[in-house]
Amino acid sequence: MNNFVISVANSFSPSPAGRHKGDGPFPGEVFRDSLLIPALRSNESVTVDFDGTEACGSSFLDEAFGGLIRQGGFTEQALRKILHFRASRKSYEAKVWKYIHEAGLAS
Amino acid sequence: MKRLSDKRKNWLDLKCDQDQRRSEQLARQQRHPKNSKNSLRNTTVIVSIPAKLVAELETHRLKLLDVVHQMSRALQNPRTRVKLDFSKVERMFPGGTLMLLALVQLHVELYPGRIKASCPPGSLPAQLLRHFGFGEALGIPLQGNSPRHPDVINWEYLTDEWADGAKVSALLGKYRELINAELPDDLYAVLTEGITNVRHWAYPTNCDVPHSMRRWWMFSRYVEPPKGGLGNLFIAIYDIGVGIPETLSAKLKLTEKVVEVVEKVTGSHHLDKTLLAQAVDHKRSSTGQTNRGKGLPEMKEFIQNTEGGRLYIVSGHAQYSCVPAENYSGAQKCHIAFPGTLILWSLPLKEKDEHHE
Repeated sequence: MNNFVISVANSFSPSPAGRHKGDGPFPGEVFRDSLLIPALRSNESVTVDFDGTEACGSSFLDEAFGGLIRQGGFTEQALRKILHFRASRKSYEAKVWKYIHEAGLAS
Repeated sequence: MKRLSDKRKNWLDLKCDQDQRRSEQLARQQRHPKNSKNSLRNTTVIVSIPAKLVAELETHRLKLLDVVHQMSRALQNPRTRVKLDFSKVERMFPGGTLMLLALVQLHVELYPGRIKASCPPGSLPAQLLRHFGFGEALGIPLQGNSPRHPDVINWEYLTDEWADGAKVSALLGKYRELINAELPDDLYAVLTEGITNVRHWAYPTNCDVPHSMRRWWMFSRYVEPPKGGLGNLFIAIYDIGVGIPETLSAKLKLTEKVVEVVEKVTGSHHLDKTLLAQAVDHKRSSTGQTNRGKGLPEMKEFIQNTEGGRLYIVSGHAQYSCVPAENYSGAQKCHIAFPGTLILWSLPLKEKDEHHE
């Protein structure tokens, strides 16, 4: 199984912030649409590596990952099979899956 | 008959001279009312800045708001200039200083060239105004006022229209290098949430704030520890937008709309307190969408996880305070409307954990 690794710090920004395209230079929407969705559609497995980034806020995380359900058309079940995380901050993975789950409930 | 003392006699002579000069001036004005020099001369109104610049305590905040009102009222007259007198300032705290300087900057933008400041040479206010880049606009000379005092150089100042994480990261990076203490892990997250909220909500399209001023301001100040202790980091974010209660008013329930109408008549403003508390406790958002409105609750959770930390949010007619060490969190009503929104964190720092280095 090929695993594609996205290093948020190296491929996007070590200091991402904001939700929508107009918020700032590196918001969640841009990360999702330009990096995350193309990777998820082209690979059997994708690992998002948060090491080297500042602690991302809820707006960034919710738009980037919750938006996979709302805008990207993914389901939580499908994402659970292909999306993985690498982060020294243990709370990250739980937070992201919470946003994905909430987006799934609301959709 | 009682004999006059020399002191009393001198005072009476001086008073007579003043009265005579005043009479002559009035007589001149009556003879030539249109050509009176006084009607053509610019006047300067001196506005005295209070001794303590504190925004999170209402008594001090009211004094700062009064300064802003005095400045605004004076500048309505096109022949009036304003001089901000900082000579009585004793203590400058991030929240109060930030709020005052942001509103001064707004007025400088609206009334260019009509506002100046006066500070004792070399004083902390003079150095701080130069340090923050306000010196040129307010007429504070560099000579003698270059920032050098530790209480000045440990302040940082940021402002922008965008939610640019790189600026916040650079600011936190300076403190990480400067101080031998650990910054709270989620500090970057809550600060960027604060500036993202400004971007999303503070300035609706139809608000009166000039486009160039639709921004956020951030101050941070590190207070060095006394011998043997750990320092404290104070950070404030301010915007001059419409305020949190106003942004939530678009989603009022019917009963709340009735309350809003009644409060506009009675001037009681209890609804602002309720709305602010619900926003921080994540019981509602401006959009009504469940995935939004997480920023303020995230800030509260952060301070609850930061030992000894404090959080203050002032907006509209309300202030929300969270002081976990005192087991207190809740909103209070403010008697005077606060322009915009101020969020202030007080963060005791802890020693770096050497095992993780």
